[in-house]
Formats: sequence, structure tokens, C-alpha cells
Amino acid sequence: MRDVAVIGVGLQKWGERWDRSLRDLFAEAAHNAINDAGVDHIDSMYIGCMSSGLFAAQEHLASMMADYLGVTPCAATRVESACASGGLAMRMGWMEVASGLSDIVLVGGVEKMTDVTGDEATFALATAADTEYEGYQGVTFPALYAMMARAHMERYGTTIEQLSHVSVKNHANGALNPDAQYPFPVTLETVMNSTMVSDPLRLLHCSPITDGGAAVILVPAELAKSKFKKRPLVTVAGSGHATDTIALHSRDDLTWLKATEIAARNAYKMAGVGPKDIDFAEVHDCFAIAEIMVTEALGFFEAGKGGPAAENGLTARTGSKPINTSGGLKSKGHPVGATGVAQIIVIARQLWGEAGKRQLKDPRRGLAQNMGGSGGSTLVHILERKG
Amino acid sequence: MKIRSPRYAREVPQRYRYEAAITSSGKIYFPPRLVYPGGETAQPHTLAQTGKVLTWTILTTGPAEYADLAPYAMAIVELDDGARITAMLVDADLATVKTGMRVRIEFRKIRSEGHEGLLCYGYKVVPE
Amino acid sequence: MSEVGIVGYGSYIPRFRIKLESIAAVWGADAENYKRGLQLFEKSVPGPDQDTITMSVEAARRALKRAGITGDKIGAAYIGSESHPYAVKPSGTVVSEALGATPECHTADLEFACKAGTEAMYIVYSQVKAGVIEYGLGIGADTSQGAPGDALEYSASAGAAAYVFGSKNILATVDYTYAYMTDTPDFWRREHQFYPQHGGRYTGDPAYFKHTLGAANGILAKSGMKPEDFTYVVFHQPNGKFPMEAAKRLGFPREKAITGWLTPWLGNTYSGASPLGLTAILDVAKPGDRILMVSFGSGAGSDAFIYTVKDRILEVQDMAPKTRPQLDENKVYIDYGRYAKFRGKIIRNEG
Repeated sequence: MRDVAVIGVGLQKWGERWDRSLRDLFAEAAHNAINDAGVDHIDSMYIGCMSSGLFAAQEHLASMMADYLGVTPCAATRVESACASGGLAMRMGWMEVASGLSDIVLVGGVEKMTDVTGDEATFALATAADTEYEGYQGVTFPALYAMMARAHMERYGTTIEQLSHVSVKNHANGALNPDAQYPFPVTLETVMNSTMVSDPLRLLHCSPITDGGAAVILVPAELAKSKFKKRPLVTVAGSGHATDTIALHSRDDLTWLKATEIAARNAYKMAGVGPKDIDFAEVHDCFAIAEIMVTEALGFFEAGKGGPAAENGLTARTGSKPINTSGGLKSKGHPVGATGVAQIIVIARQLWGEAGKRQLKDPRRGLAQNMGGSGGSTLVHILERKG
Repeated sequence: MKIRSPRYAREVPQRYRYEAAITSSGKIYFPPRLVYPGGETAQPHTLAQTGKVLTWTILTTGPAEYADLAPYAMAIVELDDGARITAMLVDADLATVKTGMRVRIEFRKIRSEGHEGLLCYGYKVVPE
Repeated sequence: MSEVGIVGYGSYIPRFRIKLESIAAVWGADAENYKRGLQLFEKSVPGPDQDTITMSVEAARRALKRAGITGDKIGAAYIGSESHPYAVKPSGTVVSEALGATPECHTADLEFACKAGTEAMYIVYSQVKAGVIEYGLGIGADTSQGAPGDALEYSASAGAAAYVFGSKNILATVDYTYAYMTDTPDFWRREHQFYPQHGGRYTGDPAYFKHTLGAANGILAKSGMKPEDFTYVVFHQPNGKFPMEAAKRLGFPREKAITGWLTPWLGNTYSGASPLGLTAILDVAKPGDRILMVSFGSGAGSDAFIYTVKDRILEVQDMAPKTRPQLDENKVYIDYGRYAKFRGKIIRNEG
């Protein structure tokens, strides 16, 4: 297996992009990534997208996106793992380059969520759960995470303030991110008083509906060293992938994200590192409780200690383990299929020193954790700066 | 997306009669499956009708087909045989819903597919 | 042929209630006048997730419990209602499937205004008596509608009663049955209409009383019995007043009619009305008690039954929820707005 480097990234401002269609969002992000990388062709492309069929009545993205990126007859693959579609696209692209099959692979993700009504969007998202035994019974995604939150709170004493601190921190970071959907800070009071969505989760504990695309260019590290030298070499040190039961009620432990634990363990093993060697991470804060539980499953904090860690500033940009310096899903937005790819962009930019006002001091190793549904699938990638 | 007849009818044994399966190692699967982990086989088993709430939430807005019921409680229930289900918790003052409360399964209408479509039935839980 | 009778019984009443005052206030009506005239104070309201089918399933499960049999023993199941959820596709198939009575089971839905439930009971009783089935299930259940602002809106309510009939382990024998039926247009609903029409005062003497008293007198004559021979009597009860008036005209003292008299607090459960009244009686009856039951359905007709309670009643009363506690306990009062929402009386956007 060859070492694989990230050499270019592209996205656009995320939000309610009435002016951009599904194909435009992808083409724009992908085109930006190709230009940023300075490649003159791609060998293959991956498109992470959860539900273009339900959101935009469009499938066959392989053909569509290659066409609208102007790279027909390029091989193209659409992958889906609910909200982990982008992370899955990253792993597939990495595998294709690492295996030696291709030299220049575009990994992209996209979701167009605002062409349908709010109810239709809720329905499409709900297909990430067990349609017959969860959705039919009356749950929504906020409800599933709310039940995890309640279980976590009752078992560990995690508080609603701690959850709210996650939102405050992510908005504080996102306020410095010009591409974010909601680039403004929020106060703890505003978060705690926002409309109740599914007890105990309130509106500002929940990531939004967003239109957006994101793309990165992957090449073998050797090629990056010889031909794409404008930036420090950033490679994929580890990749991990695991599933868990589709239904939340089937999980061994309602307060533990096992797929994250296993995917992370595999990524750490491949990279030859442990949780303490990770300088910063982008994690899947679809709901504030998710960030808390993820940081525990990644091994950053002990089970039950994720809440206090957030409350005490350990995960702030200036803390000992910065989480979601981009603003996370909460502030940056969550165009489902694009999120996992955007996480790679954030990690790469931090490692390159291109994170603008959100720049951390000399980070060497970042981790991206991207999760589908209520934790039914998870992708973890570790990127390292080699120079 | 409207639920159509084949998809509805197939789940009737589970939704109306709680037909599940139990493997030789004693794990209950609801619904029963074609393939069980570790190559195990399973025997028919009917879910226990009573149990306790493991965790719960109260939704302020639900999916469109359930909107008229909002606000409503959802719970993950551990039945007395160890099986777990996700179900709407009804006929309870929302302020009294709590982890550990005892509930039993009751037959209810889950949703209507518009004015002309199927009436879909299934299980909810009520305080025991 | 050996004796045939009730082997199990069960009832289901939803939790929601609306007071007469809440309805009267919306229409600018005199609540006290209605309460006095109807002898009715509040009524049950089905939740948005409840209907004739769901209530029938729960009532039938309770009846099977008391009968001590599993659903697969049921050879025929009939649900009488004027609010079957489908116009075409029987409630009977859903209920039979839920009880595990399928596939070897007869069913078809019955409709005869408020007496469809007792007709269901009569049919399965007859099938058991003829020996063509071992056990039969007869259910009366309704979630009937009253037009907004109409007199019927004060009384139309929701509930279900289920009876298993058989010839073994009887808890009350059926000693006599009688039917009295004519074509009397006192109340009807045309296809595609949401609310029924009724004949106002014509629903009294020419309809309810003619058929109720006709059936009562008919069964008394057939059996050679008199009011003194009975412990309990239960009539169809569209309001609190009519059944007590019927009892009085037939010479039954009020005390014998009180136990089965549910409407003042329950409202009119239509096909469930006299069947539910009978469950309340069975909940407290003693071996040897004799019960007269006379239903009434607009259109019009009455079914009469004479039951004698057996020893087994004492073994089964506590096996499932009783009727009076369901009526009196754990009630949730709602206002007219919520009532109108639950009952689909508000014009909505499609889809």
C-alpha cells in the first residue's frame, strides 16, 4: 500500500443555496479542488451523497457528476453511508490511490437539501435509521440522539449546560470561518433557551439543513513530493471503518458509539499512534451530544467525561484537544454527503497552516470522524504533516 | 413516501402479533431474520408484552404523518424477556414519563397514508 | 344441543373526555339544559391513533383472556360498527389477524347503527349453537361522529366491547334471544357523507321506544319472565334519559338499570353502548344473576338477550381491566379545539 497525500481542496460557502443545484454544488467544489491542487486531469472520482434521490429526484451521480465536471469518460463512483457518505468516499479514494490502481483521485461529497419541504427533508434524513422499526414507530433523528443524550445524562451526570457549551464553542470557531453557514457566535443562554426540538435537545443543539459540496485531490505521496510541492506534505496516516446495528435499540450500550471506537482503533493501529498523539480533530457533531460521545469513543476522554471536558474548555481552539475548529456541523453546516469530505479539508488546511483565523499552532496530526445515522457506520481518518 | 401494500403486509406478523425469534444463545431478534450472526439458528418467540423504559424523549415536532400527535413521547423499551423495541409512549401525562417506568404494549393506529391510502397499525406502549 | 353462552368478555374505553360545557360554550348553547335533557355530563373521545379497529383489538384481547383461549380457537369474528375505518376492507380482517385467529376464521363487517354489535353477538352465538364453530367473537365498537353544533355532538363517543361465545366454560348462558326490526328512517348516513342525519323527536317514541319495548316485551313473552325475575337490565343508551325511561315503562326498578347505565359519563358508544353496559354488569355480577339486555339501532331494530350468570364469572372478573374503572379513572379532559382536531372536524391542507 502506498502512502497517499492530500494536495488540493475545494468547497464553497455553505447554507441555503437557492442559486445552486445539486450538480452545480458538486461541480463547483470539485473544480475548486482541481484548481487548488494544480492537477491537469483526474484518474477517477468518488462522490459521497446520502440521498440525491429523495432530495433532488436524481440518482446516477457517477454519470451526472463526471459529465458536469467535464471529465467524462472518467470512472466515477457514488458511495452512500448516510451522513458518513463523505468519509466513506475518502476511504474509497484513499484505497484506490494506496493500492496503486490510480494516481490522481478526486474525492467529493455533496448534498442539496433545500429543494424539498422541511417535512420531506426530515423524511429523507430519517431513512438513515431503521425505516420499519424506528421511523415507522415515530422517531426523527433529533429524537434518536435525544434518547442517547438522556441515557448519557442519566448514567454519567452529563448536563444540558455541557451540551450547550459544545454549541457555543463550535459557533465561536465557526464565526471565524467565512464558508460556514452560520458564521456568528452564540451565547450559552441563547443555546439553553432555544426552542425545544426533542427533549432534552433544543434547536441550537442540532446541526442545520444545508446545501453544499466539498472535494479533495489525492495522489501518491511520492508524486506529491516530486510534482506538488507548494505545500507541506500531508498524508493519510490511518483509515478505519466500522458498522454498528442500524437501530439504536439494538446497540449493546445506548451511551457508547462502538463503531467509532472500532474505526478509531483501526485507524490508530494503521497510523501507529494513540488518542494522545492526535493534536486536533473534526468530529461529527450532528447533535451536541454526538460530539461529547464521539470524543469519548475516540479515546480522548474517559467514558462519561466528554461533557466536563467540553465545559472546561479542553476542546476549545485554545484547549488541549481542539475539536471542530471549523465550527463543526453545527456552525459550518451539514450538507450530509459533503460533511465527511469537508472534515478532510479542515484537517489538511490546519496542517498546511492555511486555516486563517482558526489556525492552531503547529499541529502535526489531525483526526476526522464521520458518522452515519445514530452511529450505524463510522469512518475515521488520521492525517499527518510530514515536514 | 406513502407506505404501499406489500411493504405493509410483510411486517404484519411483527406489528400485530409481536412475532420474533430467539437464538440458541438466548438472544431475541425482532423482527426475525434470514441470517443470524455467528451462523446461529433461531426458534419462533413472541415478545413479552410488558417492560420498562430505558430512555425516552418528547418530540415537539414529529414527521408529517405523526404531526397531529405532537408533542409525543418516544421510548426505547426493554421488554421483560430482554428484547428491546422503539415505540411511542402514549396515554401518559408527558410530565410523568421517566426512565424505569413500567409500560405495556397496546395496539394502535400508527399512521394513515393520506385520505385515500392505507391505514397502518402497530404497537405503541402505555403506562402499565 | 348443550348450553351456549358468553365464555369471555372485554371492554376498552379511551382516556380522553370532553365535558358537555366545553361543547356548549362553542355553539352558544345552554349546557345545563342539555345536561338535564340528555342526562349526560361528559363523553369519551378517541385519540388520533385510536379507531374502531384498535379498540376492538384491545377489547377482544381482554375477552380472550377471560375466556382462557388463544385467538386461533376463534372460528368467526364479527365487528359491528357505524365507524369502520375503511368503507371497503373489513375491520374484521385486521382484528382477526391481530388476535391470531387467521387464517381459519370467518369474518365480514356489520353495520346497523347502534345495534350492529349485538347483531355480531347474535350471529356468533347462533353459529356456536348450530355447532359450526367452537368459539365466536362478537364485538360492538364505534368512534361515531356528531355534526358540529348538532345535538348528537354532545353524546357521540368511543368505546368497544367484545364477547367470546362458546359452549364450554360458560360464564353466562344465553337463555333466550329475540329480534324486533322494521324499516323506520329515524337516523341514517348516506355514502360519502361525514355526519349522519336524524329525525329529531322522531327518534324517540316511533324509533327507540317502539323497538326497545317491542323487543323487551317480545322476549319477556317468549320466556314467560317478568321484571321481578331479573337482577339487571341494560338497554341501548343514546343518552342518560332514554334507557331509564325504557326501564320505567317496562316496570323495572331504577336500581336494576343503574349498573349498566354508563352513558352519563361515557356518552353514546353506538354499537358499543349496550354491550359495554353489559360488561359493567358482568364485572360485578354473581352466579345466578339474570340479565336482560336490549339494544337498539336506528333504521331500526332491537336485539334482546336473556343471560343467566354462572359460577365461572367469579374466576374471570379480575382477569382483565373492568369497565367502570376505565370510565372513572385516569381521565384526561380536553377542550373543544383539541376535540375537533382529534375528530378530524377541522379543514386541513391535503398532503
